[in-house]
Amino acid sequence: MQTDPAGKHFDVVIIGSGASGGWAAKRLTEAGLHVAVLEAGRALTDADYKEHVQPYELPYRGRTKAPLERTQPRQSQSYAVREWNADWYVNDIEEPYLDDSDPGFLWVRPRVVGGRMNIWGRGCLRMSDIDFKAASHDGVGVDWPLTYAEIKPYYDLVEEYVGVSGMKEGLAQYPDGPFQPPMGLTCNEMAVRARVKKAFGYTVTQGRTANLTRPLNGRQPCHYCGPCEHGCITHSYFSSAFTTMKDALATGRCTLLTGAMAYKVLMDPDTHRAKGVLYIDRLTRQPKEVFGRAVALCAQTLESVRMLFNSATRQAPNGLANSSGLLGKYLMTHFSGAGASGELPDLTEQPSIAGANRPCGLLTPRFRNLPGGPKTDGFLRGYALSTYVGAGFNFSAAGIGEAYKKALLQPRPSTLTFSGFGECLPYADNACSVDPNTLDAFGIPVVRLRISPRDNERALHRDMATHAAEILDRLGATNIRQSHGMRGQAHEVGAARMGTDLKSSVLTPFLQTHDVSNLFVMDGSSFPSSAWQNPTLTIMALAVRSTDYMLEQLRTKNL
Amino acid sequence: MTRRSALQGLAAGLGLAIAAPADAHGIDHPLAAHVAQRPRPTRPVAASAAPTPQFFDAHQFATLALVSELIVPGSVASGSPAYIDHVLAIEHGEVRLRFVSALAAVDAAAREAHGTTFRAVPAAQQAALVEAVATLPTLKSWIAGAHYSSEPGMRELGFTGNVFFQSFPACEHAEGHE
Repeated sequence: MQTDPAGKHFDVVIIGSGASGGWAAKRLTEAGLHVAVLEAGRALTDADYKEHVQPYELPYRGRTKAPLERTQPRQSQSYAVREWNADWYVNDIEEPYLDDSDPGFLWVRPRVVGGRMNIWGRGCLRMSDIDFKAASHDGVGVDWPLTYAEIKPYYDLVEEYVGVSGMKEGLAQYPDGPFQPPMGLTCNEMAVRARVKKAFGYTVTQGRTANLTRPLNGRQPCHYCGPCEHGCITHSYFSSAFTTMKDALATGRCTLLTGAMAYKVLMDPDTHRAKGVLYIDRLTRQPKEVFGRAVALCAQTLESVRMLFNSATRQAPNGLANSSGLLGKYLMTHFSGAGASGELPDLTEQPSIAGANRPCGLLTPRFRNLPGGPKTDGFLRGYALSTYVGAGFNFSAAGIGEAYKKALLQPRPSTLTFSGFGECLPYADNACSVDPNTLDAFGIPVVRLRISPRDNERALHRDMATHAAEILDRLGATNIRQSHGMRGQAHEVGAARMGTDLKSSVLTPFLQTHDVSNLFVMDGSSFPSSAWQNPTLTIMALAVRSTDYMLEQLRTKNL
Repeated sequence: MTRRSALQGLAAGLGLAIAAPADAHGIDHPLAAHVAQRPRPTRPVAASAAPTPQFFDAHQFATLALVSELIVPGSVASGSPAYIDHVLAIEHGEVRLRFVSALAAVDAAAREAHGTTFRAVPAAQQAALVEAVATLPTLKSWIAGAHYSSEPGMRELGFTGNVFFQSFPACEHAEGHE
């Protein structure tokens, strides 16, 4: 039986057990260090996974979110929060946040070991020097303080352990990696790939996804059941809960504290070094402390920055690690919701739910404003198009009775849908902080955030819709419909950006705070720009790089 | 041995049995234990018509049953009216209002054409009334949604109960597509 670890000393205290926290725990414990991982939620077991539970086995068949809205008015707005898994997420009433964004920003907050890795979209997209040096290219924002060559070994290491299924395409803006075999494209998808390449030169490829197609470290290949966000009994998609955290725990040197609401980094006022973490026991509400030679915040951008603000001291009254005054600023995400769809009359498909479901769609990587290519009027940077080809049942078929039932089962033209997600430029007043007057149920000041699109994002969104429609038109699609929605994705990054200059950045290139040498922030907080790619792969690669640096510093007693 | 490690052990054998037929309902399949132990419905919401509707009154519920069966034959047996009642009992006011109004339009059409309620219209003339009612898309959406999320309805769409597939049916045409 595990004794209460409160009051104990560890080598490193890690906040969060998700993408970055899992990697930090794995690498540090496998190097012989003792760590404590504080997780605000509970641990899931295989009994929590419900990917094989059919709709008719649930009271409301997943067709209404009304029962969730009483305690989860915000969380329930996410597609990934469903009748199957709603108890994995935060209670919005107990743990609110204040949102000044326009449109409102949906902050998706699981409270389980592994965090958002349990329900993430699994897209694994490498960034390139086109992204890292974008500011030099177009003059907006700041470059990343690292190159693709520096991060490539970490991308390789992470991808090999994660198991990423994908197709090698040889694109400068979308570098390849050591992929597991792709799952493949249907005949109609292959036709779309060929037609888009011929008409525009763009590459339509299988979305690179953290789902196995070959066994790896005891995890089984994907069995194509479909709803990954409900869990995975064969551990075929990548979640830190049953990979990095499992490895860390297997060393015997990782203490996982669940139900631990991390509140503050504890500082030694004499040495100005972090000495541990104050957390609130979720069950008893008792304040408790754990201590370490170093502290790594890996709690998601908004949570980690919240903690730094809540850790203000007399010496750092505006928030810990905030001597630059930039903490919380340049918060970014990807905006999505714009695109177009149309029907391809010659690519018919028989709708069915009999067969395999690939756990990813297609992706058309960024094609706008690439170095050496034409500049697009009206906006900088670019976007990718999530691309879907398929035909669903025609539930709105005409008629009633047996004729209707027969009609809805008929083969139909495939619908080709492009749905964009684009880069968000860094703006100082897209920012997050804490509201000292609004406390969550644990007595901790909550996040106040603002992340709103500006002219560049709006122009980029218009192009997502109009150009997607142009592609569809050139491909001979009929019934083309444009979508001009705008919503922020659960890809929040920035707000504690890294750089070499302590006046213009919060973190060093190794994700160490400039102000407190033994305090690290390893989640997406460090991103100087959002790029167009899903952030998690880069978060993991940076976390490994940062952890290796921390290990070296601890070994040489520099920390 | 924990349940997780037991399942992992079973799953590890899967790679060796790659050529075996893929059916999660086979008792030797590693997913069989998971499927057997997964949560089951606490009450058979969709299995039969609720004797006492929670949301509708008796007239509405009887009318819904008639309309439901006309639009999607088999939907009463799949428990669709009861499911709709179950959902509307917890839905927002505007959602309830929209459905109640859509259903009432059927009675209104019957009153105009026959001077009586839809239930009292001869069965042979009910289908024509339903097909002509302006709220048919709303009724169809709810009734089809209920029926095709039931087990019998899902099976009509091709669902076999299998949750394990060894591969994705990717294109195998070496010549490609244009």
